[in-house]
Amino acid sequence: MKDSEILDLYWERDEQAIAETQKSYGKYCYSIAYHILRDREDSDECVNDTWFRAWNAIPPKRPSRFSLFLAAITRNLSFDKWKRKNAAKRGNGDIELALDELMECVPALHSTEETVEAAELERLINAFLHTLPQKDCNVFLRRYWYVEEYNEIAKRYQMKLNTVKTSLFRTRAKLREYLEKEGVVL
Amino acid sequence: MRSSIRHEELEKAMRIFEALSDVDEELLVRSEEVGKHEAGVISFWRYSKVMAACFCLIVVGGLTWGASKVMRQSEKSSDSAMPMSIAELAEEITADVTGDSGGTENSNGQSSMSDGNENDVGMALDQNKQSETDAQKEVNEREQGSSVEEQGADSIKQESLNTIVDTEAALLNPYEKISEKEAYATEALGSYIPATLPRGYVFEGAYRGQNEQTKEYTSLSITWSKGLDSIFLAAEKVEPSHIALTDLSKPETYNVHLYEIPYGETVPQEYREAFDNPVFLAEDLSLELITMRMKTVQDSGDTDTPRGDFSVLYESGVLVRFNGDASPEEVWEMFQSVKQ
Repeated sequence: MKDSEILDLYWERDEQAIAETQKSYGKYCYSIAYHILRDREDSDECVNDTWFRAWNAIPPKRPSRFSLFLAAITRNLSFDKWKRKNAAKRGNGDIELALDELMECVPALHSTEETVEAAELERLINAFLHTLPQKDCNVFLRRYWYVEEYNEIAKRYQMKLNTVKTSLFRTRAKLREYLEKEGVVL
Repeated sequence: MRSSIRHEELEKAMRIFEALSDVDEELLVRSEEVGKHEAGVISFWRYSKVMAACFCLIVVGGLTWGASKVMRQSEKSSDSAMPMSIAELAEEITADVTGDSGGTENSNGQSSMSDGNENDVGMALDQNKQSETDAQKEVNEREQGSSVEEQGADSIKQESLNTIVDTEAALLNPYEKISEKEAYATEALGSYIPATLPRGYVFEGAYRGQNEQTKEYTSLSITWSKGLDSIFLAAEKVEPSHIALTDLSKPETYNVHLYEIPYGETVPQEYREAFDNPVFLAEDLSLELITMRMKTVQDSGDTDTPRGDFSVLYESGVLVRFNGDASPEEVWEMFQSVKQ
């Protein structure tokens, strides 16, 4: 079923919308959740919560890109769940590694500055991503948006593993420099 | 103390991770689109390798095994009243070899993925080197039903990968990965790619976007790299009246040498927008202007090649965005070699 048809079902408040969403995007959303949570039950739960959120949001919303709309919900829910579960103890996992890497992007502290607002940080990161070469931007997003592993990214873009690592290393350094240039304090 | 610092840093990294949630959809679509485009390529190459390997095995194995069978048969035939015909023998050989080819395919598929032996760039991230991700396994497990025995493990893996990327099939951003030659040959935009590049730079990748209705190419981007240095150019058709040109009489709005990093603290707020994205008319572009946009930045983990960014608007309504690492002279030479 096409996205527009699924969205019509949501607008008609037809519960078949959820079944169709599951059919079209179940695996996709599950994959996003699992990359973050590494737990089958938790991932299932996040995917189900995603359908629930979508049901509540549409209408009034009518996302232009339904898959990304769902993906963003799943990512946020999964990350929230990960944070709750890992408040006390942190184990190993892809998200841990991804966050460890992102620590390299944290700009040096300037005591005179105030902590940047979340919305401003989002705007700046968006602007930064637009300055990147397309390939580097894609690799960065696959790693830190989708939390994909290096070898998945390498396969996806037919790149060498080392090229993926180098690209990410370079982009993290650029992001740190960019945030420092912008005077961002986190 | 040390763990609390780490905790703080982790919290900050989490803020960056969360800030990424609101990234422009176009960028995410683009990252999917390329993947989808290349998934086909991966599939083709994977299967072409498998097929080639199978073919070799069939030929070599068949000949070896067949020869021994013929010899055994000829030995037997002296005792037997009804010797096996060549056609029967060929059928048997084919059946046996086909039976083996599944195993070949699997081992081939695995070896094609085990490219994790390359040197690390110094990051302690070797934990990521797995021949297959757990997530992929997980997706595969969930897909496995009664049909598992009918399909090879490799084809399931490929199917699940394709499923993930194909979910984006309805998306409408037709970015296409192209070769350097195709980039130069791209109608209307290819002529804005410089013929001359700084020494040592090699082609890394190029993409172009097309208007689905008019079939015109509306955007073209290309990247070259030299070690950690890179040069990125993006050409797109714009409405010139919508572009805010940089006022050349106000170097304070674009000269990076007038300010210290972090620019957020040193560049006055009123210049920030122009400063971050200066656009010069092609006829105004000069070595002096480029020099004002290129600066060497002391940064651990990167080279000391000057880096900079700016955009050039051509009379034809094509905007070329530059972002890269090179000396001002090299960049100037690059732009001079544009044969638009």
